[in-house]
Amino acid sequence: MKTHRHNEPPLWADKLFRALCPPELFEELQGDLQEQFEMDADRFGLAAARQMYLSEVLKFAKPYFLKKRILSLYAFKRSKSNAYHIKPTSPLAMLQNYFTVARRNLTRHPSYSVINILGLVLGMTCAILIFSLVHYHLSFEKFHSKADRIYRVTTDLHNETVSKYGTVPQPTGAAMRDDYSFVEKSSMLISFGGTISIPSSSSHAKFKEPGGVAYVEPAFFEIMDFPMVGGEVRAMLSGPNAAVITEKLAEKFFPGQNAVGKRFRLDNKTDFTVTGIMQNLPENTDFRHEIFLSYSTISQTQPWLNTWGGIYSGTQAFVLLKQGTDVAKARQAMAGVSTKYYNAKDAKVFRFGLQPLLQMHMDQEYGGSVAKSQLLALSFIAAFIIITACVNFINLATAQALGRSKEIGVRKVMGSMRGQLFWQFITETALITVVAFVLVIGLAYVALPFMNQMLSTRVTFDLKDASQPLFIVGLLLVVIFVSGSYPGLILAGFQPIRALKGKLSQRDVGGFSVRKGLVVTQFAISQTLLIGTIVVTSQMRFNSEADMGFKRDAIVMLPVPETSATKISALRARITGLPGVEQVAFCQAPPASTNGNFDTGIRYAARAEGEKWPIFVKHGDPGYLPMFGLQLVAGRNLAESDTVREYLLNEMAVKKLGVRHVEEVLGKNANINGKEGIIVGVIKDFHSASFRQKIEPLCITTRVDQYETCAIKISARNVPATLAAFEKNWNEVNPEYIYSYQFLDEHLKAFYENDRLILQLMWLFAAIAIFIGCLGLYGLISFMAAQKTKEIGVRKTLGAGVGSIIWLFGRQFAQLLVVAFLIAAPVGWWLMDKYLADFKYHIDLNAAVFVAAAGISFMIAILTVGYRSIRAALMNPVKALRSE
Amino acid sequence: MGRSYLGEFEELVLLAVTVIATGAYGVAIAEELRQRANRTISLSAVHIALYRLEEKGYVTSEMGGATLSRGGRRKRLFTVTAAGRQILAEIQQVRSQFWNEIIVIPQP
Repeated sequence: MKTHRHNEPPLWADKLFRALCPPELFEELQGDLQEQFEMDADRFGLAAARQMYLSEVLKFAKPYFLKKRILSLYAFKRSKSNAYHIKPTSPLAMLQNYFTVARRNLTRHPSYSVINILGLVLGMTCAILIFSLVHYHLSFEKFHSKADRIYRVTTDLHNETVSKYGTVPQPTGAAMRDDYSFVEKSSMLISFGGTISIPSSSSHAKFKEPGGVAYVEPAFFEIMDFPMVGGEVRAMLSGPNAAVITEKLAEKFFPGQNAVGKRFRLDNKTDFTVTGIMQNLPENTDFRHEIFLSYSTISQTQPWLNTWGGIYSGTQAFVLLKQGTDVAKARQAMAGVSTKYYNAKDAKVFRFGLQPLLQMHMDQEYGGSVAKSQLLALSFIAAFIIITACVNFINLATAQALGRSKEIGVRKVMGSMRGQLFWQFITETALITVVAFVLVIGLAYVALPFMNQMLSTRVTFDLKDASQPLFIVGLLLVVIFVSGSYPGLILAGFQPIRALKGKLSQRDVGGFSVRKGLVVTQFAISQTLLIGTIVVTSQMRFNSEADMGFKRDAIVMLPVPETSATKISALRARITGLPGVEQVAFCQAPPASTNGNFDTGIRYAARAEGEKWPIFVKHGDPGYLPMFGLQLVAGRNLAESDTVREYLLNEMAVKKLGVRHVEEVLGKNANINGKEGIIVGVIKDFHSASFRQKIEPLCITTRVDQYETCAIKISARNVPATLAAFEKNWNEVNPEYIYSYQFLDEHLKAFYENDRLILQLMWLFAAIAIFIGCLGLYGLISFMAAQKTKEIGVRKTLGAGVGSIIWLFGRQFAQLLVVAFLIAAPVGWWLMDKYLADFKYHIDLNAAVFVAAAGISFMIAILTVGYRSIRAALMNPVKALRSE
Repeated sequence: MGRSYLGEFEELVLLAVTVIATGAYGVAIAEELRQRANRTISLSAVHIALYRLEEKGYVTSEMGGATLSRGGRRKRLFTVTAAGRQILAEIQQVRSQFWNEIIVIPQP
């Protein structure tokens, strides 16, 4: 057969074939291909033969050969003995070697691996959770297609101080629509709580929806994007007593039926017909109502709302501005609302503004749930945690590097390139990170519901939204490269001779002071958090244990859904007769409560003008005083009455009235909230709100239509039976409503809900900061121990004891901790002083707090450092010195 | 050893190996098939069939000596085994039985 030296098959096709072909079959297949090529070239010409050659090569990309090709990568060691096999020099083989070495290294130092993985797990979990949280908050209301043109009307009340509300007087919506040409559409949204009952259902099912109900104008659904399942919303909500509910509620209220056309009853008063079904609410909206009622119903059910003079806390107005509206000018123009609808005096008080819908969630001045600065702070915390986790990782890795200097040396002598060594360390880091990552995903899934519960959020991991997976993958890569590249570069840069002689020292891995700085920062932060945690915990204990001026043990509160005299006396008759009941009182709210507080004006005796300060009004029957143990300092208790007849004032009110002796007010008239009454007694001051607030002027009077609460003092014996009896009797009196009860103690905790959240977060972050600090410390001491091996050996041979060696380490760390404490103490003192200043009645900051915080962090540090330094101190000096 | 069945292409390759008798290797077999079956045959398909037949025990192989042609690379030479001959005979027998039953070749 002729040979054509210059008529070879295409070179690159040959290369491709080499890549595709299992090495053990290479020779025979390549030979066959070549022979075929030569044959084809003779027969069809060179060009055709080349083409055919390429097509033959491509046909070798079959699973049969590819499988063998991949297997050969793993089996190549075995196959070396076989004479006709060719070694592959593929980078994949090297990667396999990296993995083997990495795996061996990790299993050889399990404690090192575990610490590294734990640190990374914690850091990455925090980062992922915080990212999801921030992303969630930033995404609020963004899904509305016209979001950039939607605004909420706000009210600023300019009295002595400016109070800002996201709510408006009820006629605002119509005024905006009628008076301003830049308003394209406007809608009111008026929300209420309420009990829903289904009259048609056989079991008389009752529901209480957390989102409550909202009366809206049809335009609401044209401004916002809450799509209907089908149909025209304007038709659905135009008539009175119409309702649109979500798919979720439709299934809950009318399971298995078509909800459209069905009826439900609100608060046992008004019937509504379901005229439309809307899609379920997205998670990232502050509109949590799942029942929307037609606005034309409201004039019948809530006629009291229709006034410019007052603002009900559920009344909001939303406007859609025309395209291209200058918002600044629109805001100015809105001064016209005040001048048009108010008299000159009130026009100065009521000022209206526009708040962008997209800022609603983040504007805390107007009741937004989170501030941008808080999100920023959280992001910083996440970044800090990730960075420290990476730096700790670097610390441990470089500390270990000294131990591996021989390996590096040998590798270099054998011809390892710098790049190869670098990638070897990156691979090791990647292995650790990926293991950590698997744990992170699991942990994040487990932790997410807890975070949501704690922060009252609805964050979800949504894979449809690309940003979360992108962040996670990005985080993974950043962590791998940040924590892997430093040790990789350092190690790869070792001089082989020094490395092999074992002469590497701190200088070769560098940056000791950076490490110290980091440990100090970590401990300063954790100590600050510890100080904060201790202070907040003490204040919380003070809050729940300090005397508020009234009794609060063993008092159960039941709601009174219908405040009519007949219902109340029916309930009173039933409850009073039950075993275990000591006292019963009906009232608007207990002496201290987050709800049912309202303040109003007072005109005293024959004075011509009302007082300038407001007075709080509490409504309660004559049983109120003995029930809560409120003490009379003058006069007598209220007499039984269904309407306002008599008043009790507290001492603060008397003082504010400017009356010298409490007895002087007795028998005088008072006009409070427009109701005339006689002052019959004065009671001792008590705390009617949280310890954040001062004691304010207050009066107590009777008024049966305000008794929303039934307070019951029970005996300690057989509480469950008593509570069960309450439920039974309550349901018999109020069959249309849903029973609930609350102990007064629990009720009072609502004042400090935010503080509890802060406390939990502080605990969490303190724990994380301490844990990470300990990792850093451990890394530092491992590093020091590795580096001081010789020094310790010499010291021991010269007669140093174990104690003095431990002190060698201890002194260093004591210094670091003291420096950290010197930073943490003033910062902590300053922050906590500000926190406590918010409370009008609070604990004192004392030295014990700081001593405790310092003590705890020292204890933890000693536990961390102790084991490692004792092991270093007990080492046989011969071992340390022999290798010289 | 369990019975291994042959695919149509494998059967053809096995027949080709049998026919060539000595010195059957990839290119020769592919050429034989091209001429007889008058269809496009790719080397990779022939080799897969050969390796499968070897795994099933119907052919054996050994490396031949180096030659001047084909870039000096050696050939892998295949020989049919007794089991290979037997399975070919069996296939032939089964088919003959059927053909004996068919009196007229059915026209489509």
